Amino acid sequence: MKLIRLRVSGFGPLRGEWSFAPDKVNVVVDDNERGKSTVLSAIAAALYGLEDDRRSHRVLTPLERWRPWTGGGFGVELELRSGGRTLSIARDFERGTVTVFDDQGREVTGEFVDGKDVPVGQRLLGVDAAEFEKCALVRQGDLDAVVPGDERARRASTLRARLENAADTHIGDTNASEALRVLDESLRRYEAHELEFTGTVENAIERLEAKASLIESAIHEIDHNVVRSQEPLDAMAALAEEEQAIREALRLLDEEKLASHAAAVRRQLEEDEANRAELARLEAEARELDPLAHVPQNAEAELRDAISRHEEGQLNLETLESRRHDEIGRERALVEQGLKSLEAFEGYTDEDANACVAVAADLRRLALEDATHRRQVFDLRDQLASQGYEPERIQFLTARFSGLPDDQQRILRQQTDVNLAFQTEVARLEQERTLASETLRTLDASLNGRRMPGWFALAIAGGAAIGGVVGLAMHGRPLLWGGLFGAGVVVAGVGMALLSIGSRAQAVEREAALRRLSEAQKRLNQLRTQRVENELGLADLARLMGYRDAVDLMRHWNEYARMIEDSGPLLRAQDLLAATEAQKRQVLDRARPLLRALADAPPTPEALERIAHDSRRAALARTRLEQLDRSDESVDRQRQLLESATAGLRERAIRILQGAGLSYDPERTWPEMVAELAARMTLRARRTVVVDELIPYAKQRLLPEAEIEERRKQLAILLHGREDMPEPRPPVEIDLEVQQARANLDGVQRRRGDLRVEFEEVLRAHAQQRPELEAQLDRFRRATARARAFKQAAELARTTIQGVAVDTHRRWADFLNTRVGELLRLFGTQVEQLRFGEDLDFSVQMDGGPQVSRGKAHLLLSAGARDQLYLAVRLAVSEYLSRGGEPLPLLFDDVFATSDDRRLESGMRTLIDGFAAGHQLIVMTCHRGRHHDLMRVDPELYRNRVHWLEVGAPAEART
Amino acid sequence: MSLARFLQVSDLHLGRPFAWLPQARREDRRRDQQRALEMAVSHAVEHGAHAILVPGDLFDSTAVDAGLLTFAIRVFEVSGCPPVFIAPGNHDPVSDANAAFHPRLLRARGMRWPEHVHVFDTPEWTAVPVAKLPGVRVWGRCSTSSVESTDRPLAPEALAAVTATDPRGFEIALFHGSREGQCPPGQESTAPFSDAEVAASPFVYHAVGHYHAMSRIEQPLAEGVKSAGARLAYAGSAISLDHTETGTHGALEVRIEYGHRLPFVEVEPIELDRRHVYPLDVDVTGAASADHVDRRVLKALEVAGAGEMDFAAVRLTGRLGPGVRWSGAGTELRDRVFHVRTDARAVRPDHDLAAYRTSGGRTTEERFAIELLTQLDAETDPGRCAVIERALHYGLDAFRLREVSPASDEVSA
Repeated sequence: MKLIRLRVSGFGPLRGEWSFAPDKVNVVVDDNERGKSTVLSAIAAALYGLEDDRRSHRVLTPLERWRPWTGGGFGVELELRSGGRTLSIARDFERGTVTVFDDQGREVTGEFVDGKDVPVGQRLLGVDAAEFEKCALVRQGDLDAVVPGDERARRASTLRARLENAADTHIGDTNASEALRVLDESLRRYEAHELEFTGTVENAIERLEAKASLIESAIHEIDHNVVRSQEPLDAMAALAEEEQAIREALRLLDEEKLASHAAAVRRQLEEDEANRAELARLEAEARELDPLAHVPQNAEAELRDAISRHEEGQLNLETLESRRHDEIGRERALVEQGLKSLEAFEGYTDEDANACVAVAADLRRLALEDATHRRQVFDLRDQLASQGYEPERIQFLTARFSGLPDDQQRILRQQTDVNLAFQTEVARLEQERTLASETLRTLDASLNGRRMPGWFALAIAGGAAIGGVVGLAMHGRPLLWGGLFGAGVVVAGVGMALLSIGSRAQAVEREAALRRLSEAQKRLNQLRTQRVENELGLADLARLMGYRDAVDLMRHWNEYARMIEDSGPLLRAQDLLAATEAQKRQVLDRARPLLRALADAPPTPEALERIAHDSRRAALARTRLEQLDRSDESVDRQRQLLESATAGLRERAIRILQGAGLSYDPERTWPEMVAELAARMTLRARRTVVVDELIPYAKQRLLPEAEIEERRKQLAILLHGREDMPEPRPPVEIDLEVQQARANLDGVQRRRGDLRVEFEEVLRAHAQQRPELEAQLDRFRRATARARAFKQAAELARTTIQGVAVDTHRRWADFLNTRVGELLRLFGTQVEQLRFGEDLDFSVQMDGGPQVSRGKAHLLLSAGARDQLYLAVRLAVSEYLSRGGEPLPLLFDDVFATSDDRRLESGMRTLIDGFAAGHQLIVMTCHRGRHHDLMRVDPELYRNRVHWLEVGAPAEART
Repeated sequence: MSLARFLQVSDLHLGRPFAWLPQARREDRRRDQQRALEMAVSHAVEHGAHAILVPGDLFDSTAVDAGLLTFAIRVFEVSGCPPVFIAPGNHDPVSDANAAFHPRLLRARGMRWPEHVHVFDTPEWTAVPVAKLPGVRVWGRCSTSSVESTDRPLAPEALAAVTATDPRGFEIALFHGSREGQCPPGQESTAPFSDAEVAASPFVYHAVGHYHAMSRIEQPLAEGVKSAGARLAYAGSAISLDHTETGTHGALEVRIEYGHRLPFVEVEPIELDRRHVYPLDVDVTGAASADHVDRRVLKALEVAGAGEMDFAAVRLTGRLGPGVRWSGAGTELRDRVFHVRTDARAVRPDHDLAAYRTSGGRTTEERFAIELLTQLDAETDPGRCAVIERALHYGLDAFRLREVSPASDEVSA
């Protein structure tokens, strides 16, 4: 394929049109940063388009990278010759359109469409974009990367790595070693999510299998439990049969119980018939006894009561008469005897007896009070004596002062108070008077100070007025002297005003001070006057009472006053004692008339009380005699009452007999009649029992007709089919057996229930756990299978890559050994031989030197030699990869930048001679002068075989 | 002419663990089973069926817990329930260990089937007359073991006991067996029989259980045949028991006209499962994220008309772009249906294998791809093919993505 023309409407910094010579080496010369490298990218973009897939170009997609810097159109058009026809590829990256026209002007885009893409380069060259870039483009940085500037990076075999990349992968960005590492890593860091485990796949498989095995064991266990649960099932079946047998026994017992029940029903019916016969007999008896029905229920008791009371009444009448005379006579004698011994109290009444009792009580009370007051007086006297008061002194002072008139006693009492008041108040009043005088003096001094300016002004005014009057009086100048006089008058007014103000100042305070002074003086005078008057009165009293002076009088008075104060309780007790004695005398006066019955008796309470007692006894005796006199009448009345009651009782007994259907026969005794009535009452009681108890009870025991019918039917049903049934056992015995059978049944059912629970629990657990375990087992089995499959597949991939990589590298090594050596010789390097191994590392033999490893050779080779070496390898790779297809155009971006002139010359010659025949070469360079020098050295070669272009030159000058 | 009506329901598999469902959903599905049986009995009562035929696998295993057994007994005790004939299948065979059918063990558990429920408890054919249909008898046999049985129930020697047909009625066969040539993958064959044996048997109709999909054998009217119309029918499982059981599930209403002419049998499906399994293939090629994948599935569910009561068995296909990982349904998708099960094993990384085939094998990567593609083309064992295919993608992932993750699996959500 040959490139003919490139038109760029906008591609990064590039814009313009360039024509390439198809059969020559196209050298594009221009300065740096003019877009030479961009030309190569634009050619690749025209052939393959620009990717816009952000997943593989996360930072910047090629489409974004090459968007025109200055805006405008974004497209390229490439004209080329391929397969004998000329094609024009136009790509508008803005719209995403591609059109391909052939040299006839026909659109042939359809020939290149592959799905959504139009990879024209792929169809024309047989290589995709990655391969084209790897084979056809030798960029400026590529060689730098082949031999990095950094020493540490150089230690790694970068060339080898790149060769490996080129040999191993289509794109060339990785290699088999890296792929193997990735596979190893994936086998080493396998993630088993089911176990939350990350580790080697072998470990994961082992763990998953172990886990699955555990779950299998668990499943087997619960399955085994189900199998084992069959054992209790047999026991359960046996128990069920046992239960059935017990139920059958219970059924037979029920049958027997029914037979027993039938017997009981039959018995009930027979009993009912007997009861009915008994009822009929009782009713007949009741009918016979019906005539006695009207006999009162208590006739016999009433009759007996009436007869006994009648007999008792008669007996009472007989005894009443005899007893009356005996009792009255005996009592009267006794009363009259007592009354005779109490003749002394004949004149006493009830009031006298009460008065005796009251006086006796007063006497006792007064005696008690008198004793109390006397004991108090003695106690108080002992107390005063213990305080130093002699009874004689007390009597003396009392005699002296107690008889004084009130006014004299008042003078004596006031003397002490007047003296005390005089001593306490005089000092205070004197102090107050002194303070008031001081205040007045201070106020007067202040007043004088305030009035001084006024006096001064009055003095000046007087002088001026006098001067004016004298001047006028001497006929001086009237205005002057008149003025002086007027000024004097004015100043005088002022002085008067000042005097007035000064006088009125502090007038209130002065008035208050004067008032306090006068009041203090007045009070002092009063005290002195009172004191003098009292002393005069005392002196007179002392003289009257025979004292030497008032002081002597006051000493005795004071002693008397203290004594009076201390002997107050004694005096009060003495007063009370005297009052008691007076009352006692009055009571004794009242007692004397009452003691007339006891002439010689002293008036004591006991005597008075004896009089009261005997006088009352005498009164009672008299009253009793009167009662005995009246008792004959009452006994007569009692006898009449008894007689009438006895007659009534007899009548009542006769009525009772008649009421019971018996007639009274006076010939017969009461007991005979009572016996007859008793016999009738027995029959009546029998009737009552029959009618009220026996017949109702008998009726109660009878079964209702419906029930009898029911029982008969029931009996018929119970007997149906059991006619031959043997005599049933007693129900108690049957119940006992039933109870035992039920206990057995309960036991069997309980045991069976326990076994059933055990059995059902196993099944329930099985149903509950088995699904989950199965799910887990399935999960782990699938995980194990997945891990195994992964391991198997990854190991197969690994083995295959390893085997294929060795073979590929060997092929590459063979080719590179031959072709790189040839190229190096054409470049004129000193490398005699270059040997690549299967690992794509190489060794170098310099001219005549030994074979040295890559590391040593790196040190031996100059930078230019290294570039040539790597260029040779690059060219060899391009040749190798593009074998079999249409020759690729080779685009070089300043690959001789580090070569010296000689190597540049040999390198260019090699390209021109060795590659231009097969490939279209486009060499970009910024070394314009060096290439012009080459052209000058070998003008023939460059004139015919090289086509010069400039990127930045106008379109017409670019070819 | 007389008309006999039967309701045929089988393969209830009561007590099924449903371990493939999330724990929260298992109980719901068990209730669905029970509801299906209730509906079947209710249908039989309402439509005046003369009998209910249960040809096996009423229970999922012999370990039937008390609750389940009580339910099954009670459900047949409803008022008006016609006679029920049960022929235990390979999942609930009659044996000394099966406390659901063994009378002595049932008594031991304090339970018993109602009088109108008859359990065929011998592997030989025995007959029971249908109460309200004079001359009509139901012949049944049971499985006695859960292991695969080769006994041929419809072989002439096995049918020697089936004699003395009453001219007033007809004979019906009730059993659990496998129709040869029709056994679904993954299902065991038990009591096999051939179509020829069916055609030659003395029964007018064969009510068979075992296969979980409804199917039947039609008998055209011809000379010498015992009946016309449906000669044999599987009612299938009453409800879908796993995500592979798609389609309608329920019971069969069997109507047999008989009398003066050849009995004519017709069957009509009765839907009992309120949930459906929707099998969906969803292409996720180009999906840019896991959420995008979910949205594709949601869209497919929408188109298929799946509701929140239904199951979805989603098979993801296509190619996922580099770095796009999908490890299971998201919340929205999970909530969209009762249960979704996704199979992402068919999803492949987006490597251009065709380009590798034509690449010429210049690089290790290309040669690796070619090598494994060659092996894959030559391999016939599916398991080995899967390994090679995975190895191919893992290797290419290692080259292209520098990252290798295990391939997607079946995911239940």
